Amino acid sequence: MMGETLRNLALLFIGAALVNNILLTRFIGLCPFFGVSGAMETSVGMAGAVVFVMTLASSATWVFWNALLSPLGVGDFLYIPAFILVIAALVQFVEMYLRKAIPTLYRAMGIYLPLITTNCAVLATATEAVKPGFFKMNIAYSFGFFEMLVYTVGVAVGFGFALITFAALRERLEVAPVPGILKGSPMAFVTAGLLSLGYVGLSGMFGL
Amino acid sequence: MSEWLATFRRGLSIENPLTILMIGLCATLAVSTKFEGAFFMGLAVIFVLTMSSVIVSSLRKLIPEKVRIPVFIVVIASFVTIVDLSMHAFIPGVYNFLGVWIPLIVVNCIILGRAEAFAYHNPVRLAIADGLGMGIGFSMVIMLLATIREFVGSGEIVFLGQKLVALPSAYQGPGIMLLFPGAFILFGFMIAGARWVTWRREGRVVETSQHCTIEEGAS
Amino acid sequence: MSRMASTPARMVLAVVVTCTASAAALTFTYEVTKDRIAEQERLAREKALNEALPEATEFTEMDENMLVSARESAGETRVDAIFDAGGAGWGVLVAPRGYGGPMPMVVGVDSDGKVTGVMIITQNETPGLGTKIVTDESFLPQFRGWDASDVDTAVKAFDAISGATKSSGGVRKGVVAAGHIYEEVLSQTEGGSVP
Repeated sequence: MMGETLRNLALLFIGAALVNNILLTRFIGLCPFFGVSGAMETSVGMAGAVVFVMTLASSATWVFWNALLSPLGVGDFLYIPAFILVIAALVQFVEMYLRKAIPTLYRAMGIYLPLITTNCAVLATATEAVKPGFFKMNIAYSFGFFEMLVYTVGVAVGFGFALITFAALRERLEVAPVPGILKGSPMAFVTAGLLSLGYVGLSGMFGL
Repeated sequence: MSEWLATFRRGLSIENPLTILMIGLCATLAVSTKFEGAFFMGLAVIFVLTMSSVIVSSLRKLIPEKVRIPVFIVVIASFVTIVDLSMHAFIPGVYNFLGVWIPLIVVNCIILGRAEAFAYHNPVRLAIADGLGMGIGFSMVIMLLATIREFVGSGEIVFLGQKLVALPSAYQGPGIMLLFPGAFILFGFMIAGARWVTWRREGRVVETSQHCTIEEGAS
Repeated sequence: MSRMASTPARMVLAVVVTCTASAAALTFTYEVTKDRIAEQERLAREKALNEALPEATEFTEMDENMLVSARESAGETRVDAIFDAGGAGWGVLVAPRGYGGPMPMVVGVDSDGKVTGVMIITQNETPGLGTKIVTDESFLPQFRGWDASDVDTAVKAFDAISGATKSSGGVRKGVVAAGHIYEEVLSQTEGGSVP
């Protein structure tokens, strides 16, 4: 029994991080993907901030949903404003807290925090954790708290991994002989397409 | 009136949210496998963008600066939910196809970005022009992308159950056009095309990526 | 241009007023649309049930206990509901996962344990590729006549659509799950056994 639970959690993690990679196979969260991937350093900072905020945000909305929205029966039509407000407020508090309490961490990822509020990946993951199947994951029924955590960390790690890979590719692209009209963002998109092609190849792995 | 038209036209051309500013990409690439989906996605964005621009602009003197972002978000999220529920009730097929992308209009940077950058500082009249212009500019690009992807990929264009255009059924399209990588690659070439057009017209390459930078003045 | 100064009272007021107005507007929209949404879903489900079980005339939803044991036999596939079609058999509503998320569908099984038909209620597969599971005229009918009490043998005759392997596999998983539900749960009941 224990072994099976662990196996399911491991599959959930791999499914969330690689097979259904949120950036390259689901197109969610592309703005930071193209926005900050210009330099390696910012990508690493952003990846860290996303793992951190996404985990907090999904936990908060999960509790909010199960304690308030769902019992009151208003979840179906109020969840969008409710979730986005919870996420925005949370990010704001985290920012204030970090600035005072852990200045080193704040310097490392503080500037990315406001950007994350408007990152669709956070809202999408938070929603998926309470309304499974909503964006194409391998879960039949709704998540328990622990499953939600594993899933969210999986998505966030997949996000960070794809972002850092892409940043590395773009650094190399800087010195590549690209025709003038394609230089910069057009070529970045074509590169992202090729990277995404690799992820499409993972589809169906481990029966996910 | 010329100011109105000028504002309206900016969204269509030199400040096109997709090809020039490159914001709101996620939804664009994801729903452009089908012309029908792209069409209704465009309508939804035009509606939410214009309505929230009107509200934000008409209340701009009443919204204290420090809480403007939460207020904008709630206004936008409400219009998005209205669209979500109405689509679910009246066009279930399209609703099912768009799925998660309707709620995600909330975090589509175009809308929050325009509320912040334009509607909060301009009168209602111009905010409408900006909302419509940006919305239509977005729709044009997403519909063009979807038309190419659906036609080349599956050889036909279906709109609400009607086949608008169809190649003989023996046509086997390149499936990659319909998958995720195809969207990235095609969109890359579309930006290059848009750049080439502005370069021909203006004699310089316009590159003003905004990338959803909402600077929160609050806290 | 003059703007309201950000005093704490005004800030709280602005947020509270916006949230209240928003909640009111949404509750109103929800009340207006909810019946229509429920109706749309009922119609789609009924249509699929009728097509999967052409012989049946009426459907009654089976109780929660049945659903719980059905979910146990279905394994990883989601089971939404089971309908008793009187003497004509059962309609099993399963939602296996395809390439683009869960695909709610009806698998009709008659009282002799033969699959009478498979209908997909909604799906979100890649247009032009995965959607062939619906548009390809020879795909769904191939399940007709499968022996539900022995799906694991029947499944060997399965033909996937090329280019839509994952979507086809999803439908297959749904039929297999429905077969297991028939074998372990439905065939033990009295309900549909009267010919």
